[in-house]
Amino acid sequence: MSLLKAESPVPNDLGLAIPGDLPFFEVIIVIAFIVHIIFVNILVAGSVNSVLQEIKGIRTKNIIYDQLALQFATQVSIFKSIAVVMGVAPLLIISTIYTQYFYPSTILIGKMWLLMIPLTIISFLLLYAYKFSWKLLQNKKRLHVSLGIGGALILLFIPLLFITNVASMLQPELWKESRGFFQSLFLYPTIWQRYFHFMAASFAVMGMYTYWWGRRKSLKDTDPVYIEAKQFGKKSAFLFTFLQVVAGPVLLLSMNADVRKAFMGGSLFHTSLLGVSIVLAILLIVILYKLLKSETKKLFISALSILLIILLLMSWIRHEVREISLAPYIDQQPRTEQKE
Amino acid sequence: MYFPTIDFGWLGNGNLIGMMAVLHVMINHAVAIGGSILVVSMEYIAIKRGNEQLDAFAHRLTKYILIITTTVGAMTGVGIWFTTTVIIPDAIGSLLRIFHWAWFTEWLVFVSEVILLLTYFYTWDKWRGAKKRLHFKIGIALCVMSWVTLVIITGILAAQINPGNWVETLSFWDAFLNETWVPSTLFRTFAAITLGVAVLTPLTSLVMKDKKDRHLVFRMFGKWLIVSVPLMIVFGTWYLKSLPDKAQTLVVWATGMSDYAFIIINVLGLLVIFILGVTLLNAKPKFPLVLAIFTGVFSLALIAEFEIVRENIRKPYIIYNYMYGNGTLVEHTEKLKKEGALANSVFASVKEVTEENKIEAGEQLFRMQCIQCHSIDGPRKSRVLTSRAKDWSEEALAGFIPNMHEVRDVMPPALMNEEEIKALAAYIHAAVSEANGVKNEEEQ
Ligand code: HEC
Repeated sequence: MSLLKAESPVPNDLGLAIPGDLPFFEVIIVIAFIVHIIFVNILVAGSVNSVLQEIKGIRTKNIIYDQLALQFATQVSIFKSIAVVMGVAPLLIISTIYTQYFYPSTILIGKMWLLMIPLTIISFLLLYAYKFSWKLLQNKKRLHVSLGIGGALILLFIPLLFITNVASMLQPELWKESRGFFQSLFLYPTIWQRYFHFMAASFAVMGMYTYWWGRRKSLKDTDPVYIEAKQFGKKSAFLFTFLQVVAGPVLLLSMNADVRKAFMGGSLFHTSLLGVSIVLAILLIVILYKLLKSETKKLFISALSILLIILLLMSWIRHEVREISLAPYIDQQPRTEQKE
Repeated sequence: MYFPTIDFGWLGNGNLIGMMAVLHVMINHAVAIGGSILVVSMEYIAIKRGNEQLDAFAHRLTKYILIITTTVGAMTGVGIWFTTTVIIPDAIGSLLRIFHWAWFTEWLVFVSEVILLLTYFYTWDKWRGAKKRLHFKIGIALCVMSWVTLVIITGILAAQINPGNWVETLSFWDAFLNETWVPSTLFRTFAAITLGVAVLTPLTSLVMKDKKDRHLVFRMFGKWLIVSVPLMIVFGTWYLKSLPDKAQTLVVWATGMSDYAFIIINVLGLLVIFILGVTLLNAKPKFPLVLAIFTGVFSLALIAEFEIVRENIRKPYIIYNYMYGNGTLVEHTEKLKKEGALANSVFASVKEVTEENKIEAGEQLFRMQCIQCHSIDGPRKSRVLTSRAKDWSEEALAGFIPNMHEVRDVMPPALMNEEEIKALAAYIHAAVSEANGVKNEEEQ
C-alpha cells in the first residue's frame, strides 16, 4: 500500500472533505481571479508608468508629465490595497481545492515565498513615501524618483514568485529536481513566457484604465494633464495589446503536450475557447487602432467590453490549462470530496 | 508531515510563525481596531464642539492608520497564512477545510473594511458641512467592520483549542460556536481599545501642541481606558475558565515565568494601565510621559504574552484531539508506528532506514515531526536541542523519543517505527554535538 503511493509525486489529499461543490468553487476562483488580476495589472504597470512619466517630466522640463505621474502614484496607492485584499479569495480557494499541488509548490520555494511579505511591505511603504512626499521633495527629484523606482522594481519582481508557484503546481513531475526559487525560474518551461504575457497585459489594462480616466476627467475640465492621459492611455493599450498576439502563442507553445493538443484542435471546446479569444483580440486591436485616429464613445465602449470579455476568457483558459495538466494526477490521487 | 519540509535553521520554524502572529496582532489590535475607534471618537468630539483643529488632527492620524494597516498590518496578516502554509501545511490546510466559509466571510468583511478605510480617509476634506455626518457614519462602519474581522477569526482560533464535539461530528458549527469564542472575543475587544489608548497616548502628547485639544483627547482616552481595563480582566478570567482543563494548567508554564513573577507582573502592569486611565481623565496639563511610554510598551508585551500563551497551552495539539502540533493526525498513530513515517511521505527521499542513510533519514524525520517546535540551535533556549538535549547520548535520546509524550505531555508522540527512532536519535546526537562542538571551539 505504501509502495503504491510512492509512485505518484503527489501526496494524498487531506482527510477532511473539501467543503462544497467543486464546480461552484471553480466559478468563484475564475471570477475572483480576474478582479484580483485587474487591480494587480494597474498596480504594477501604474507604478512603473508613474516613475517613467516623472522622469520624462524632468527630462523635458514639462510639468504636465510630472502631474500625470502624481496622478498615477495616487491611484496606485489606493489600488494596491484593493489588489491585495482581492487576492485573498482566489488564494483561499486554490489552497482549499488544489491543496495537494499548491502546497508542495509553495513549500518548494518556501523561503522566497515568505520573503514576499517584507518585500511587499517595503515596496508599499516606498510607494506611500513616493506619493506623499511629492511636494516636499520637489527640489530633490533624484531622491524622489529613487523612492518610486525602489517600489516599482520590487513590484516587477513579485509576480515571478506567483508565476513560479503556479507553474510548479502544474508540473509535479518536476518537483524532484526542484532546488529552490532561483533554480525553478529555469526549471519550469513556462515561467518567462507567463511573465511576459502578464506584463503585456498589465500595461494594456493600465493603458485602457488611463484612457478611461482621462476621458472622464476631460469631460468636465480641460486641464492638459487629462488630454495627455488619454493620449498616453490609448497608445499603450494599443501597443501592448498588439504585443499579446506574440506573447500569447509563445506561452501556449511552452505548455505541455496535453495542453497544446487540447487547445490546437484536440478538443473542440478548448480550441473554440482559444479561437474566440484570438478573434476578439484581433478585433480589439482594430478598434484600438481606430480609437487612435478618432475618439468616439462608441469605440471606447466596444474596446472596453471586448477587453473585459477577453480577460474573462483568459481566466477561464487558465483554469482549463490547470485542469488538463492535473487530470492524470487527480485520477491517481483523488481529492477528498464531500459525500452526498 | 505529508508535504515537503523546510528548515529555517537558527531562526526556528516555530519562532517565525510566532513573530509574524505577534506583530500582526499588535498592529491589528492597537492600530486597526483600537486606533480606528479612537480616531472616530476624536472626530465625534470635533463635530460636537465644532473644533476644526481637532478634526484636522484626527484626519492626520487616520493617514497613519491607513499607511500602517494597509502595509505592515495587511501583509503580516497574509504573512501568518503564508508562514503556516510553508511550515505546518497539514494544519492550515485542515483548518481551511473546516472553516472555509468562515474565512470566506472574513474576506468579504476585509474587503469592506479596506474600502471603508479608503473612503474614510480620502473623503475627509471633501465631505464637509451637510455631508460631515455621513463621513462620521463611515467611520462608525469602519470600526464595526474592523471588529467583525476579529470576531470571526477568534472563532477559528478558539476552536483550535476547544473544538467541543467537532472531533466526532466534524460539523462546522460545532467547531465555530465553541465555549471559548465569546469570552475570547470580548477579551480581545477591550484589549484592543486598551492597546490603542496605550499606544496613542505617548504619541499624542508628543505631537499635539494645543493644550485645550490635548485635554479633550486625553479625557476621551481616559474614559475608554477605565471602562476597558476592568472588562478586559473580567473577560480574560472567563476565557481562562472556558479552556480545557489541561490547557488551564499550562497557562503559567506557557509564559515561561514562575507563578510568582506571572502574578506580580500581570497584576502590576494592569494596575499601571488603570492608573494611566485615571490620570488621563484628570487630564493634568503636565503629563508624565514616562508613564505613557511605559504603558504603551507594557501593553504590547501583554498582548504578545496572550498570543504566546494561546499558542502554547493547546500543546501537544494544533487542533485539539484531532491533529498534533507537528501536523500528524491522532488517528494515524498506529499506522505510522507500524509502517514508518518515511514510507508514508511522498517527499521523503529515503524510504527505509539503513546504516548508510541513517543520518539523512534522521534529518528528514526531524523535519517531519520535530522542527515545528524545535530547532537544533537558536535563540529560544527552552526549545533548542543544543541546550535541551545537550550531552545526551544517542542511546539516551533513542530511549527518550518513544516516551517523550509521557515525559513531557506538551509533546506529541513520535509517530515512527523503531528503526526510524534510532535514526532520529543518531541525527539529533550528531547535529547537537556538531553545533555544540563549534560553540566550544569558539569559546576557547
Ligand atoms: C508540539 C510541539 C513539539 C513537538 C512537535 C516536539 N516537541 Fe520536543 N518539546 C516541546 C516542548 C514545549 C518542550 C519543553 C517542555 C518543557 O520545557 O517542559 C520539549 C522538550 C523536548 C526535549 C527535552 C526534554 C527534557 O526532558 O528536557 C527533547 C529532547 C525533545 N523535546 C525532543 C523532541 C523530538 C525528538 C521531537 C520530534 C520527534 C519533538 N521533541 C517534537 C515541544 C515539542
